[in-house]
Amino acid sequence: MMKKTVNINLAGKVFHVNEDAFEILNNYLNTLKNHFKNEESADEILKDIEGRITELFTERLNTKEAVSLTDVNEIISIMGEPSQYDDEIEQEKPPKQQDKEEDLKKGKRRKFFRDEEGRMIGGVCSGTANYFDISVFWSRIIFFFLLFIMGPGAPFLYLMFWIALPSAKTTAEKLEMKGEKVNINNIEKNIKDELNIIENKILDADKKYTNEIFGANSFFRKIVDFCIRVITGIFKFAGSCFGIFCILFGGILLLLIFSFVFSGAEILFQNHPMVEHVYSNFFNNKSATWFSLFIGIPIVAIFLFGLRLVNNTKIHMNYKIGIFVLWIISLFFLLNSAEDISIEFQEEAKNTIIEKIITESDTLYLSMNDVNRELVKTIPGLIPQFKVTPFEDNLIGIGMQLDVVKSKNDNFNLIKEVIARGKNKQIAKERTEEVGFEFLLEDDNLIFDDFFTISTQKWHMQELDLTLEIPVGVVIFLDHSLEDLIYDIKNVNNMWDYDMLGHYWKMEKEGLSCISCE
Amino acid sequence: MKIENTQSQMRKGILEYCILSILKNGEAYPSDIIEKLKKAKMIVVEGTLYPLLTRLKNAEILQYRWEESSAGPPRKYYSITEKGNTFLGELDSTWIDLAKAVRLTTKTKNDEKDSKH
Repeated sequence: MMKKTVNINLAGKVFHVNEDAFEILNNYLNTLKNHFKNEESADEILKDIEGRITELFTERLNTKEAVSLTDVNEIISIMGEPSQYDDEIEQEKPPKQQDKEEDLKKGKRRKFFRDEEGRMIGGVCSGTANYFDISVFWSRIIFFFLLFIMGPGAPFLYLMFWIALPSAKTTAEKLEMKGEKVNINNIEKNIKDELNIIENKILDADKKYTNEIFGANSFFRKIVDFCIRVITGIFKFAGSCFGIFCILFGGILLLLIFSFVFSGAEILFQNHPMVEHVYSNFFNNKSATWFSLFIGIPIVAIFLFGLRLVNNTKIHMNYKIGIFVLWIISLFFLLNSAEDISIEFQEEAKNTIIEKIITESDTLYLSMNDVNRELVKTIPGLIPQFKVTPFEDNLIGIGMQLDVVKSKNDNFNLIKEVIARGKNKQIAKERTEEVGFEFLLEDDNLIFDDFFTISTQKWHMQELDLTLEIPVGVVIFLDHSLEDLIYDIKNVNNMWDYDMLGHYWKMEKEGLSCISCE
Repeated sequence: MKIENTQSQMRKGILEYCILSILKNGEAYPSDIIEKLKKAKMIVVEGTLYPLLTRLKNAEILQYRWEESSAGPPRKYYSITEKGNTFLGELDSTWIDLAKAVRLTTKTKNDEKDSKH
C-alpha cells in the first residue's frame, strides 16, 4: 500500500511522516502552542517538547523510514494532552506582570461609553458624567448651557457623540464605564506601567537571550523578535503621550468650532468685516451646518483617536463607517453650496455712464473728500482684494481708479465704468445700475467722494473706474488727497502717479504736461 | 469536590521537591528525570515536566548546559544552582514537618477508631 509522506523539520532534524500522522502531530503541536501561549517562556517549553519528540521519533525509526500514525499516537500518549497538565499551568503564572497586562487590556481603567440605562435621549450626558465622575445633573446643565451659547451646534455635538460613542452593553463594559478615574495622576500611572512593562520585557528578553545565545539555533530570529518587542513598546508609550495631546487638541478645537461656526460667526470674523459680510450673505444655515460637519468630524475623529490611544476606548467599525459616510455627505453638500455660490458670480457686465461737468473756469482743483477717506482707511483688516467693504452699517465701494484724459470736444466729462457680476448678464447688468458715485463742484474745486454706494447692500464684485475728460488748454491741480484714487495717468513728463500730486497740469494737444515742475 | 483534583494538588506540591531531590545528586537531562518520576508514579505524561523545568530555570533554581547527543538534537543537562540548594534545604525541613504532621493527625484518627472498637 502506498502512503503519501510529508517532510517535517522538528528541532533541526528532518523526518518523513505519513500524511495522516502529520495531521495528528500538527494538531497536537498547535494545541500545545495554544496551551502555553500565556506562559512566559512558551517558546522554550515548546522547543523542549519538540526536542523530546524528536528523540522519541529517532528511537522508533531504527528500522523504518517514515513515522506512522501509530508512532504519533504513542508519542502523544507519552507526552500527554495539555488537559492532563492543565492544573499546573493555572497556578504557575507569574502573577505580577500578567495582572498589569490584563489591566491594560480589558481594564479597570475607565472608558468612554454612552450610558443607555441612565439616558434621557441617547445617554451621552450620563455617559459623560460617568466618564468625568460628575453628577448627571451637572453634565445636563452644561449641555443646556451649551445649547444657549452654541444654538444649533449643541445638538449636533450631541448627535456626533451619540454616533461615535458605543453604549455600554455588557457587564464588563458597564464596569469599565465607571472604572478607575481618569485624571492626570492616573494617566501618568498608566504611562509608567507601560514603561515598566517595556522594561520588564527588555530585561526578560535580555536574560533569556543571554542564556540561549549559544544554544538556540534561531538566534537571529529572536533578535528580530526582541527588537520588534522593544519597538512596539516604545510606540505604545509614545502612543499614550500622543493620545493625551490628541484629546486636548481635539477637545479644544471642537469647542472652538462649535462656538464659532454656529452662533459666533461675528466673533470669528470680527477683524474681517468683508469676510463676515460674504459669510452671512452667501452661507445660509444649511451650508454652515455642512461646513461645521465637514470640519467637526475629523476633529471628533482626532479626539476619539486620542481616547483610543490613552484609554483603549474602541469604536465599533459600523460607527466608524457611519461617521465617514456622514463626512462624505457633508463634503458633497458643501461642494454643492460652494457651486451655488459660484454661480452667483458667473457672468460679468459693464455699464458706462457719462456725466457732464459744467464749469466756466479753466483751472480745476481736484481733491478727495478728506474726512471720509481717513475713515475708510482705518477700517481694520481691510482686504485689498475686496473693492467693497462694510462701513458704519453700510456696504460701500472703495478702490476706485481715476484717470485723466483729453476730451474730444470742449466739454468736461466724468465717465463712470461700473463692473458687477451675477447669475447671468441681465442680472449682472441690473447690479451695475445699483452702483452710485457722487462728486461735488464748488467754484473751482472738484471734490470726489472717496467711496461709491451700493443700493442693495450686497456684494457682487462691484468695481468702479473713473475717467475725467478735460478739454485742451485747461489746467488741473492734483491734490495730495488723491493719492489712492489716481491710477496710471498718462502725461508728457512721464511722471509716476505719486509724483504728479501737488502739481499743476495743463492739457496740451500731446497730453498732460506739468507747468509747475522744475 | 473531585478526588482527582485533590490528588493532583497533593502531587503537584511535592513534584518540584522530587525534581530538586533527583538533581541534588548531580546533573541530569529531562529523559533521566522523567524515567525516575515515572517509576515513582509521580507523573503520568512527560509533557508535565518541561514547563516545570523551564519555570524552575526562570526562577534561577535550576540551570542547564547544552550537550550534543548522538540520538537526536542537543540535550539540556539540568543541575541545581546554589539558590536551588537553599530552596531545597527549606523544602527538606518543610517536608519533614509535613510528614510529621500527617503522621500525627492520621495516627490520632486511628487511635480514636481503635478506642471506639
